Amino acid sequence: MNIRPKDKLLQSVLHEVSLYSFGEYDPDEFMTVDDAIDSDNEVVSAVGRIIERCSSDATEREIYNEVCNHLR
Amino acid sequence: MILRELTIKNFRSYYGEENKFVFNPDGLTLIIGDNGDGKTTFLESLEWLFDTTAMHQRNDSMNISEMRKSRMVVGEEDEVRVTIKFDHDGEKELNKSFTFKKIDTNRVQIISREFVGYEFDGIQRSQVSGDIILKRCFDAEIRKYSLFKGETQLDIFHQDSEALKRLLTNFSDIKRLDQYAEITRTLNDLAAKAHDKELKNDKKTATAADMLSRQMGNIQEQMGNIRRQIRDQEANSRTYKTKLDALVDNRDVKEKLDAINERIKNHEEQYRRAKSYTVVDYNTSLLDESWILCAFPTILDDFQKKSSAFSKEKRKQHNAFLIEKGKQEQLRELSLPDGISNLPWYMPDEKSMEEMVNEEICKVCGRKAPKGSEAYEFMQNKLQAFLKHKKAKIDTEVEDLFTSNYIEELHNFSISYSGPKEAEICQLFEVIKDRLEFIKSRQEDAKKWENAVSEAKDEKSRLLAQLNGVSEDDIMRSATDVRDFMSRRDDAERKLGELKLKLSDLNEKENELEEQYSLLKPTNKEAERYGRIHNVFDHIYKAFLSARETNRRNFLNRLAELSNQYLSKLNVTDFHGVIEIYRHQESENIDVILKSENGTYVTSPSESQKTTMYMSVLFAIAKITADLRETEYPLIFDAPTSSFSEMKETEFYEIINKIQKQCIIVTKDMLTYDAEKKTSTIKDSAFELSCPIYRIEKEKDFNPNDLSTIRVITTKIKD
Repeated sequence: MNIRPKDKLLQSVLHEVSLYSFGEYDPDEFMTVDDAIDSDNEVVSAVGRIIERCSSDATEREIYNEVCNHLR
Repeated sequence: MILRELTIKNFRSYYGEENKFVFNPDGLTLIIGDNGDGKTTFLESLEWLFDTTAMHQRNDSMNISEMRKSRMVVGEEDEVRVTIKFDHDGEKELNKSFTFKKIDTNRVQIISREFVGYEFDGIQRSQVSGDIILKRCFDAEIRKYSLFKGETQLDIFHQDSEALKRLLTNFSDIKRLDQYAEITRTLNDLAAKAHDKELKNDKKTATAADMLSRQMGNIQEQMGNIRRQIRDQEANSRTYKTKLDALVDNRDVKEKLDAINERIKNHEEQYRRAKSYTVVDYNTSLLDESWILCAFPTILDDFQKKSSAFSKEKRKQHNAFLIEKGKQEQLRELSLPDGISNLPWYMPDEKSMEEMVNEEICKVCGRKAPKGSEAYEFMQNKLQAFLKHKKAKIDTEVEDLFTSNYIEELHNFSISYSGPKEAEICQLFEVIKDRLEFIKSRQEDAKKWENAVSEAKDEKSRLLAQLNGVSEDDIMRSATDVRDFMSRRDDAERKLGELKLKLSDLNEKENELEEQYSLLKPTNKEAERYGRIHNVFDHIYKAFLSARETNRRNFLNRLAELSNQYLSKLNVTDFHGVIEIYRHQESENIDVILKSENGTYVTSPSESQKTTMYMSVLFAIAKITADLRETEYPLIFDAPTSSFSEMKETEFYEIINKIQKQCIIVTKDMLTYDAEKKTSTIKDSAFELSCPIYRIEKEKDFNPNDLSTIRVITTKIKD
């Protein structure tokens, strides 16, 4: 199965040690952006939302507001 | 993109449409041709085909085969066409052409142009714009890593300092990660502002937040400055390193140049010396050095002949006169038998004859003439005749035929200039002749040295022409500049080290301040929440930065790994070293460096080492881009192996053929030249290669001064 570029991107970011140490998640559990958005882990979900909303051409303010609301 | 077939029609020396090349899809195709046999034109036909700028159209008429033009009649039309058939997501074709018409003996007019592509879906063939198909299958960025003219062009990394950086941007995920890093930085800034605002609104943390915020701003400003300085120093270091590399590269050239310059100096000195001997002021020498007398022997000879002839004629006429006057007796005494003219009466003169009679010897013929002998009687008679003649002349002067003695005077004059005077002048003539021969010989020497100077200067020009814009001054400055460049480079690197330390210190300070900032405990719950949100954004932003860095590192590691694999393959029996892909920290420029396994830099790799190094990197780039884009592209080289030894050529081509990568090499390797027949033939070793080989060569019996007689003949000599 072909990996979508945004999923590849998600995996490379979630596999950063500093991030998974901080977010306390297992990076191998999240293969797609959809997996990440649906996650209970707020860091994983925030990364998923940023990638998803960026690829759908949302503005930075829109992404910020959405992720901020999610993190509240 | 895998090239299947190329057809060239009427493009410069490729006359007609029989110029077809079928390529090996996953290995080497070798196209062998000697100098001037159309190797570069082959590559330029491809460049022309791929050129989508309007610029190329300006020179289109220059691309028409001169032979074709010359064979057309006025009003006739034909076309120039280059076509490639290739595989790229199916079978495709790209076709560039223009139609031209001969409008008079020397002129053609371009009538129409076409640039089209065709796609085959197995059943149908559909037409697509040439630009679109080219962009889709072989875009400009890829072409930079695909077509190479000559060995020096392989070094795309030094010629274009941004080349590898662009490659990284285009063929890794860096561009996407850069974009995300930028977005998450903005998100983090927004979160930081919101957090900062809340902290400053909180009575407990307002003062500390304000102070920390200002300190962080200050540190960030300092870090920005330091980063700029690092970029400058990296650029300096790179510049001096490039200059040092160029000096090392040109070391051999400098030695050759020194030898040529020394030769030029010696030849010029010899020329000056020879020339100095040839400087003669003919005006002065002609008179002051009596060169004018050079012609004396010839003139004297001529004069003697003429005066003798006049004298003879006068005597003849005088005899006739005497006969007429009845002086028979006198005549008999003086005449010689058989009508031979006797000597004139005044020769020898009176004194000489008296001397001969008294001494009883004939000093004309050198024989003794004792008293009573016939010879003595002859001399006596001759003397008497002289005296009678003298008397008669005085007595009968009025009656004589000739009233003046000009002929006698001339004759005497002629006699007086012969003998010792003539010998003296002949000697002078010999001296002048020797001198003139010496001058002529020196003139020939001067000419010879002048030619030698000219040849040495030509050799120097050819050598400098190979240096791609490096001037002679650049090369000759090397001795002083090496020290200067080294000191400047060392200085730049020392400063770079100091700046990196400073940056690292500032980074630590920034982290400490951020830590202190994050530890601020506001009373306001909203501020606390914004703090947590900011922290998440901050970590996400740093994770994107780090992912970008990891991606970049992985890409370059993979490039280095693959390059080294190819390098080992291309240099099975030679020392090949290890390729290091070095990225500068701030400018992010990338250099390709050759190192020994023990970490030492190979400071002056040979030309063939450099060629295999660059080709290895190009093969690696092709492999990586093929993996990333899931499509291949060919590597096409014109004369890449001019620095290779004969043994290395064969080995090299066999290895390239086995790399499983489409590669087309146009070369004059594998040819032997027969000086007697003035022809080149393909070596036997070429036939042992397992790749297809084409021979391109000029059709025989061309006129070297007439382009319209030049035509390239393409022959497939091996499948």
